Amino acid sequence: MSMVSEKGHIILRTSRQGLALRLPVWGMAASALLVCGLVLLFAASMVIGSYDIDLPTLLATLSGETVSKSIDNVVWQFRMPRALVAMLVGAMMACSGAALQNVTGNSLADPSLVGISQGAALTVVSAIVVFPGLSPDVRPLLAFVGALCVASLVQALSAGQRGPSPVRFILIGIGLSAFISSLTSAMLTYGNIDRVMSALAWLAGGVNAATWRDVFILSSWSIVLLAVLLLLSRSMAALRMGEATAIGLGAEVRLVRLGLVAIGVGLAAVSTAIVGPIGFVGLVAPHAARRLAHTGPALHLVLTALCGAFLVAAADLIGRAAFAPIQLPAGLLTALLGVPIFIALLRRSARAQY
Amino acid sequence: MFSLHAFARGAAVAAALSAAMLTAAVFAQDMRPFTDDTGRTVDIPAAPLRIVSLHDLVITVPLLELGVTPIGSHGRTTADGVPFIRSSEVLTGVDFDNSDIAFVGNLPADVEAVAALEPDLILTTPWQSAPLEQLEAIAPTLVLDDSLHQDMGMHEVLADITGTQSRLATLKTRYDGQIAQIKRLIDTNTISVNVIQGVDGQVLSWHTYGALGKVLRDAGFRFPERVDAIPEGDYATMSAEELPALDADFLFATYRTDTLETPDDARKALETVMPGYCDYLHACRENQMIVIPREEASAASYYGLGVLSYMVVANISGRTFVPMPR
Repeated sequence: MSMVSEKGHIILRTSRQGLALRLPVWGMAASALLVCGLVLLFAASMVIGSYDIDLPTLLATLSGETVSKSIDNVVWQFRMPRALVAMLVGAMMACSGAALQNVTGNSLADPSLVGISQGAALTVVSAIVVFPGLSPDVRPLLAFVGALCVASLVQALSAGQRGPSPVRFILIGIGLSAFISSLTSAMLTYGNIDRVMSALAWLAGGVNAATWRDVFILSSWSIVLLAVLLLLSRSMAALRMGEATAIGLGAEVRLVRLGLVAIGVGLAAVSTAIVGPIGFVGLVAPHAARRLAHTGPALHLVLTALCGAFLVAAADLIGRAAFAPIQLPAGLLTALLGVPIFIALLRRSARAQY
Repeated sequence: MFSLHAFARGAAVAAALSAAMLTAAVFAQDMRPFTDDTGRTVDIPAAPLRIVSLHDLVITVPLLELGVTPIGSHGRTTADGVPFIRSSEVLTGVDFDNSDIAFVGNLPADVEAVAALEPDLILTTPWQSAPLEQLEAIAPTLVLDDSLHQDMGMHEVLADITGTQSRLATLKTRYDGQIAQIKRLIDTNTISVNVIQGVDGQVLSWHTYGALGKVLRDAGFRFPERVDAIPEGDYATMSAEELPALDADFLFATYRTDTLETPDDARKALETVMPGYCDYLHACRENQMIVIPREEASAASYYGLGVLSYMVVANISGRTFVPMPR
């Protein structure tokens, strides 16, 4: 294998030049920095908390020694799955946003903004309030159905005679999202108070109830969905140049669009089903990744996933530790960060259009 | 030479020893099975010493009335972020700032803060969103559903769990005396009463409104037919059109004192239901509407029952009033 350095890129070639990989240096550096940041954040999540565990005790516990049953519980059952779930959910929501932004050609597309998360939330809240005996295992499926219905409806309604309009897509999404939220509110108003409390806790978008089972479900789904998304990344690059160019370049545009919508919806639905709707991650993370480094779609997806993971894990750590024992849901903190960014992007998008 | 590994091992051994001593103390207790309101049978200490309560009003206040001080409790926070046990200051005199009770958060409670207290029993409710699975990993956990324990039933359950039945018997005797006093002074079965509350432009009425409802029903007062039709333990949300059906000789309304509301807030809430509501209610027109703090009126508290008993005596006995035309 040989390595050649080109302006801003490293090119890796196999010995017979059968395979070559052109990697942007800054993009790779940004990825490495984000991975280091995530590792540090994970370590902080293990150390910080209301249960005071000193570093030697933490290290002993992590090495498999049982210092006390309580400390084992706190480290292995509370902190570790919680940090992992936050990172997985963040990566999934972020990539969902990236997929939707690519397929709609709209930099404002976010699963929580255009009603996809709300569609997932409505079906799950209905299940909690109306069918309390239903197993939580079916929530991802219900969330997927709800999210897919809303995504299809938004797509259909926003496709005008002159083709889809990005601003129309967002406005119809916001309108539909408000309508679905009102249905969810009605469900919460008239439901049994204890079931409603359970649904409200889920709706707040927190990862406090994370278990190893959730880690398993999220990681299984993300392995499948993110792998397919990465496979579609070459076609995503073609789609960036417009539909006609993408067809000219040989991309199966209809199939790619369908795949991207299904994956975007799937990622948002599964993560929403586990932790509730966590807003604005899908909006903020792709933009943050783009600001960090201009790269091709594949590396952009990796950067987006890392940014999303960092964002939700940081929000969860701040939410559980900053005002402890008061626990703030991660969704509240991502919304606090996401709303001003959304407004800034909306203003920029409006200026560009008119 | 100092090595991190040796330090870690030393600290680990010290922590293990202290944890082992605490665990031994917990396991040294006699255990007994207890079936909670979700149908789970849990082995709990026969005489729990380190209880964490995850509902201030429903569990912590009754525990304090039974003479049991939990080591940790769920609570609320003021706008300034100061934690408090809802209604406890006025009902028991005990709060976070004058006791050793640790604040463990609100909704959800902080499970790590609960674990740090090393409880031997956790009492929670279906309302609390801290995951049961995580709580069970800390200590035996009972889920107590207050909606299934009307009529001061939570005191009965908690007395059973904490072995404080004799204290409960004393509280009951005092309350029976207070009710007997009301019946002696007021011809209750000829007087109608009701409790109403304005919420978001609608009027709410309960079959039995907390402690106040219990005092009124135990004393033998009559209630409007519309209120008697509400299932026991339930409430109804009604529009302004139904206000006359909720009228009575004496009406009670309540306001929150923990959020610094005043009687005017209770009246404003009813004004939102129906502008000029007073003209449509006999009790209000005749100045027979009594507005009192919600803490004492709604809490499941024997102190609250006592206060309410004397409030009823003071407001209804030995006075002339205008009965509602029938």
